[in-house]
Amino acid sequence: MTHIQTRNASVSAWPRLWLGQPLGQGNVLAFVLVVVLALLVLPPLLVLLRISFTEFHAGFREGGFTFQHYVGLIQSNTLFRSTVNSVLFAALSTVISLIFGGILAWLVERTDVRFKPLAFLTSVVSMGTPYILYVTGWLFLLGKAGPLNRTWFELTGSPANLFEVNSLAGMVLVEGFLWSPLVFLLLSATFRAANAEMEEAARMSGASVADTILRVSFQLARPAIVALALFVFIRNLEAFEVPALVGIPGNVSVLTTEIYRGMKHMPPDIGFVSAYAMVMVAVIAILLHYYGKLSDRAERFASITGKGFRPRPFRLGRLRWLGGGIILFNFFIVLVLPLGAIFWMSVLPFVQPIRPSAFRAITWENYQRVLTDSYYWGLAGNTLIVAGTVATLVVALTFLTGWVVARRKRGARIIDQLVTVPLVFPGLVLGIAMLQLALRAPVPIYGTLWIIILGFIIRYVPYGMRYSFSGVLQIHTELEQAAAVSGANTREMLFKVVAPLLVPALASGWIFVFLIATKEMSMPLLLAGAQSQTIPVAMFELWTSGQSGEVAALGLIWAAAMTVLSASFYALTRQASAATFGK
Amino acid sequence: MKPSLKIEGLTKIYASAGTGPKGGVNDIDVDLPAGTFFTLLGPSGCGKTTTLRCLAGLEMPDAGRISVDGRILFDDASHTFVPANHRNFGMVFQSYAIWPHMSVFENVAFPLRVAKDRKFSSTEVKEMVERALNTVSLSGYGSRPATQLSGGQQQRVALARAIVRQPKLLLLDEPLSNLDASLRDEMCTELRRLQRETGITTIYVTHDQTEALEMSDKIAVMEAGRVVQCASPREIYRAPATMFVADFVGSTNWFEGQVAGREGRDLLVRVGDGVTIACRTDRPIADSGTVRIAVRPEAITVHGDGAAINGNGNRLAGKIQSVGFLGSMTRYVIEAAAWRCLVFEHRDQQFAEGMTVSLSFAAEDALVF
Ligand SMILES: Nc1ncnc2c1ncn2[C@@H]1O[C@H](COP(=O)(O)OP(=O)(O)O)[C@@H](O)[C@H]1O
Ligand SMILES: [Mg+2]
Repeated sequence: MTHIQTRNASVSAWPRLWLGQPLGQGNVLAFVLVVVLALLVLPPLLVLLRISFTEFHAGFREGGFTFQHYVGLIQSNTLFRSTVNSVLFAALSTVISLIFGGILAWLVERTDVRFKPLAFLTSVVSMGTPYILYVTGWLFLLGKAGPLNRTWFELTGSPANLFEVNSLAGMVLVEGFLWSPLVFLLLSATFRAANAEMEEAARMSGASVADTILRVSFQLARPAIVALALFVFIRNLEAFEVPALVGIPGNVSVLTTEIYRGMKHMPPDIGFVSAYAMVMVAVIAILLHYYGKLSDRAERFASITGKGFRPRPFRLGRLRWLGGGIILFNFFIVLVLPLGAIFWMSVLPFVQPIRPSAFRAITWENYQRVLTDSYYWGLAGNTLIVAGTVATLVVALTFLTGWVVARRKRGARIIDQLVTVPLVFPGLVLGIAMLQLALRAPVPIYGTLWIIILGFIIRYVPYGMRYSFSGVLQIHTELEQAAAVSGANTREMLFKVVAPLLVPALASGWIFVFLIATKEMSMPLLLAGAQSQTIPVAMFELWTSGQSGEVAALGLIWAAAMTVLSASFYALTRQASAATFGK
Repeated sequence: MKPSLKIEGLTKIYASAGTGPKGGVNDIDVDLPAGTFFTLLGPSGCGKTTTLRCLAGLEMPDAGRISVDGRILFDDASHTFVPANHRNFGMVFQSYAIWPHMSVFENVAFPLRVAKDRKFSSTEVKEMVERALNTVSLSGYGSRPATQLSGGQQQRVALARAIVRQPKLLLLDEPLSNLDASLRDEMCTELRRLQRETGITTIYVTHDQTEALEMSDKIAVMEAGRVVQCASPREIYRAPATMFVADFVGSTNWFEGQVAGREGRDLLVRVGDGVTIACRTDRPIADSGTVRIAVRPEAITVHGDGAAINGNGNRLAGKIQSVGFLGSMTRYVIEAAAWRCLVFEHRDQQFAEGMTVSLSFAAEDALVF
């Protein structure tokens, strides 16, 4: 969930100058990488495509070629409604997280606002916390038993809720808050890299503060903001946690929940579901294409705005307290309230409103159960094995692909394109594709951790690539050429010169992939067998079966552990950017 | 003439957050007549940018007073601070700060578009921008996107933007440091011409002493946050006020020795066994103790061993240590009385490494510190 750039445009334009490169090794490396990537990323796409055009007899037996699934899709009355819902949901929550996260990022990076550390604390904790935990927290806060509706009930005595959380509005609100920490992190990088002299030049030209912000600061950040908006929009289209937990109980269906419903139907109409999924994949592919163009433009802007100048913060003057208020508001809405709500749930045997009588029921039983039951330890073990293996393999693979693409070696173009393919899959859709592959696989991997690991590797290769690619770009080519001149072959140069220099970038990539692998629920949801559940999946099932107390206790303990990791991620990336921008 | 820019006791101290020394500037005094090309010269980190930014209003000074044409822009005593956008100064930043989302024309027109004191009609804007672009030899470039400019062109656009509104003061922060050598020479001449033509009082910041000597009417040499000498380029070079100035501006040969007495207006300094240098000085210097003597390389003449030397200046015996042929002149490193001297000779006379020679220079050229 980082900014992914497509770099195809620039790759071919450069002549390939291989000075002193032993050609043989380069070719073997490129060939191996292309084959490995193709074997990873193409089968899920192909299997869905094939199934969506295959006739099924008696629900299982495959027959001939057919258009019937697509015809059925068009005729079904759910497609139109869920598409409209999906677009509304994605667009509105994008707006919320962008406004919220954007204002916050600007305040923290470019002004002398108070409470800056709180903004970072909020995003660091939220990076380590499973989405589903947040969602359950907000569900409680905004739900019938939550303080909002409860106070309304006490005041008016009316049984109708003041705010109905299981609605499109509720989904938008929760999803918007969910994404704002990430928007904050990404935009603060943009604002941090911006050249303060651009704004000062406007001031010297006679522009007022408002003119400067509107005509220069905002305009300079606009390409980055627009690209980020499209990116968040795509992620919201693919979102599953919020639509499933908030939308399904309120009968608000979006594309992903429709697909999920189709899978849960007995027997699953896999052809219809695949057709549904292919439509989503096609739409996302188109959006990603535009995203690539937009972010290229943002990059061009960034290269001109330059960097390396110590940004000097705007003085907010009397507005300083308003800015501080916004940061505090964010801290409470995104961190304190949901986690507080979860804590409340975790110390009660069942969900109750916050009122004096409930305090008598407070118990540590949920924590005791979570910490002593071997089921939960098994979950933690599964999750750590999956995330650790996935992060390691993704980093190892993308170290090589990142280098080949960044250095425009032979095969760079096709490798770059293959790497971006997994971005078209919503997590749930990739889950379906992996499930179908597992069912058809010659080896019995259905229901094991391996299929989940494989799915995650495919899903996160683009993210790993992002880290290694930009890491390699920071290394001066002459360092590699010096190794070649000293007599090192490609392999020695890669492992003795490039890899050690890349360690900070690769470590950031590793932690990032590890964290999102421990958080994601939608892809493993359909893949997990009884023995191969991960923590988010188990939390989802516990929550839907009403065991909110254990979900909350488990989630809090897990989030605390992951926060330590995400704090180290944050420290690493700050350090890397300090080295680049000299802060 | 009425003083145009007056800075009194300007102080700005950055309390350093971490370890390391504090930065900033201390007690700066400057008084400039209108139309001066004034240069702040000093090594990196000495506070030139800080001074300039205080002038611009981008930084809030801690103490002092700044006024332009009698209008007070900053005064800590009366708590006056005119914000940057109300000062009507032009400024060229080190990175040029050309806005990539605007065309060349829009970049230059920006100061006119945001002007609060008066509204410019679109024909006026067009005219003034054309004139400014013309002044920097960029006419016809108006419709270009700012993203398609070379470094030199970006700099010209920045300059055009800075002068389009006929500012009271033009501030330039190391504008040539990002250009390559040949472009730098060209822009150097160009800047000087532009300043002469427009007559705008200009404050120029650089760490390059050749630029400073060549362009300025007046130079302030800064060291560690203070102005150590403020004078014309000639005076700075000929009569540096401190050892730091002598060292920083131009190259200098240093001798160290004991004061041995006076002879008329000259101070006699023993710099080695039986070697005495006479220095003409008006400064009150004690008749004993250790002093340092600075002699510019071009003040020294090299003579073959035993050649007759006329005049009654200083004479030192020396031995050639190395010879460097530079085309228009020859550079000698000579050891004289245990001190290393650098000498430039234009004459076609040739001395080889290891030869014994005599050095001569006038007492006026030997500066005592
Ligand atoms: N915003 C700032 N915060 C802290 N120290 C600063 C800041 N700006 C400049 N300094 C310090 O003040 C001193 C003078 O800096 P500057 O005026 O930029 O020097 P110059 O332009 O002559 O190279 C330096 O030691 C620098 O580190
Ligand atoms: Mg500077």
